[in-house]
Amino acid sequence: MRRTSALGQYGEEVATRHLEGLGIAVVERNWRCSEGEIDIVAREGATLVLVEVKTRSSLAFGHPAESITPRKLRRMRHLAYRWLAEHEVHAPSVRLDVISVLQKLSGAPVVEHLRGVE
Amino acid sequence: MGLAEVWGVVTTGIAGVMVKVEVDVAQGLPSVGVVGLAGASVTEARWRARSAIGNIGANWPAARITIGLSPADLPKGGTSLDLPIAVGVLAATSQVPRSSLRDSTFIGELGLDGSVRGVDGALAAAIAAHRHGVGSVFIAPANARQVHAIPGLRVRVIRDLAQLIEVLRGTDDAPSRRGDWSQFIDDGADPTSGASAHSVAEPEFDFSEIRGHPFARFALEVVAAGGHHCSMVGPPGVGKSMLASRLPTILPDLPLDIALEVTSLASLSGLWPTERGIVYRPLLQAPHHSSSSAAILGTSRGRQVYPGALSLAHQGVLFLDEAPEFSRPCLEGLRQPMESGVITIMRAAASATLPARFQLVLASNPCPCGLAVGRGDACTCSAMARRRYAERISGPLLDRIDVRMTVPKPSTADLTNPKQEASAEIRGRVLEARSRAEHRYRGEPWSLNGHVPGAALRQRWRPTDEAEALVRSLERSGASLRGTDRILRIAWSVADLAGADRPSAEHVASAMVLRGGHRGETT
Repeated sequence: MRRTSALGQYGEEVATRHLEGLGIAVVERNWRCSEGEIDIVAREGATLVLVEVKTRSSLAFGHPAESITPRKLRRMRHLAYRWLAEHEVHAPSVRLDVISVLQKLSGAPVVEHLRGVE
Repeated sequence: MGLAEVWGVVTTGIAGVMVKVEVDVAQGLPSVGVVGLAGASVTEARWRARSAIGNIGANWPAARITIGLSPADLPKGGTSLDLPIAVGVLAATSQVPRSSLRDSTFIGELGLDGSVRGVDGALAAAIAAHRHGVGSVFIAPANARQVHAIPGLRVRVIRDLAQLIEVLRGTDDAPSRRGDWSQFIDDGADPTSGASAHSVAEPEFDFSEIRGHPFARFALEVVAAGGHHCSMVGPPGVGKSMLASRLPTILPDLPLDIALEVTSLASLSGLWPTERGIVYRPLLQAPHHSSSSAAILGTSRGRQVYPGALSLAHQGVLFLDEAPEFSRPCLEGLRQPMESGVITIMRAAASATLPARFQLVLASNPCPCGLAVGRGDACTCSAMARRRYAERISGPLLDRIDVRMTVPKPSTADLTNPKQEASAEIRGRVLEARSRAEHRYRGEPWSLNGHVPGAALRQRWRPTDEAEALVRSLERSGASLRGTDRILRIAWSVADLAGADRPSAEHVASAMVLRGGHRGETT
């Protein structure tokens, strides 16, 4: 479990750098409420971007993004409303992104950024 | 990421419909969606395709895949689209060159291991592709025997998806060959290829196995020559079924187009596994008298159409043993197809017109106890029971039957007779008689005496003067016009068999005997 969460934290770190490299401002990380967690909250222009980060160390159990199910998407959308309700931020549009990070035992991490996954 | 188009075929009824399979691989969460009225087996194709592509070491993209099936408003079922869907994904992700798909059609089901499996409707599908004008058709080995029979079609047989990728990349040559009917027949006869490609469903019967029955033999020869419907009446155990089941053995081989039609029907019903190749001999269908009218006439479940026994007997023989025991809807349902040669199955969800040009053979006992033969002394049935039994075959049905023969108990002398003439010899004469009729009726929509309309028969083709006089005298003695038409039709068949140009008085006399009459009907 510790190893997994360490990998997860590392993946979120990689994802944050990736977003910042694209000029997308990260607003908040690991926002939690009673119903779950949003890995990264960011803003790209006027759009609020909620990011789910999936990190894997191999493709043995499939592509990282494959583990995002329709149910998970529904929950992300719900969390977005919760976040907006608790913050004084007015965003004309909201987008859900998925960033998959593949970090094999050696070599640089492979980052794939899926925009607007709904 | 990309878009690819591949041709596939689905079957509706016995016809194939070309389907364009579009595969769009776009960025997004990994998912596979199928649009275009796909039935359950078609939406499942994505999982078969995904496993197959993964298991042969190719790459299934982690992307949003949309599979569109056009025409989008045609309901699609079956598993023949597995192959085009998999090929479409491979092409959309540039694992095979898109240009290699132009001019090709793919028909086949995928195993999870990537193997390509045969589908039941492959023949109808390949025919549709051929009509559509595609260059070549890719099929499974299991379908090869059937599909190779389509003349001029370029057929490529592939074992599995891995081989197909090699072929599309141009690094492997799948055996490609043009379909050829005659070559196919020769191949089928090749003893090294295991079971014959066109063995018939029934164990081979032969007329040589029948002792006695000289009259019934002659009658069936006439029936075969003219394509007449017939009925047989005789006590139980004299050999009515034995005789009827040998009628197909003296009918000529089916010509190519009809063989393909019959094979499509038989495949559709699941009666004829695709590995068995082409049905090129007329089939015998002998449904039990407890059969439902759906089983005899055909039915549909959802949108799938199931041909009945009368369609499976298309260009073959439909034999109803114990005919009076069949339900009324079954028997009456035969009347219209007997005239038109087709049956239209109409249900809420589907309607289809299936071919049904069968030759009907009815067999029945003379009465419920079966002993009312000769003087009928042994018969224990009341007159009323006998009459009710006979009346179960309605007048309008009986009216469509040309030859009505009585099959008597063979004598001891008959049974000790040496071996009788074999089916092949009789078939030779039937063939000659049929070619005479065909020549006579060239340019007409019919080619058999049994199918000639009465008016045309009376006006266009005349028997000899003597024969004509005999027919006149029949009419004077109260025979109906329709009855004498039947006698004339049979007389032409007798004359064709005898090699005569026109029926003589003798031929008409034979026809009168063959026309018979079981229960004192006037001809």
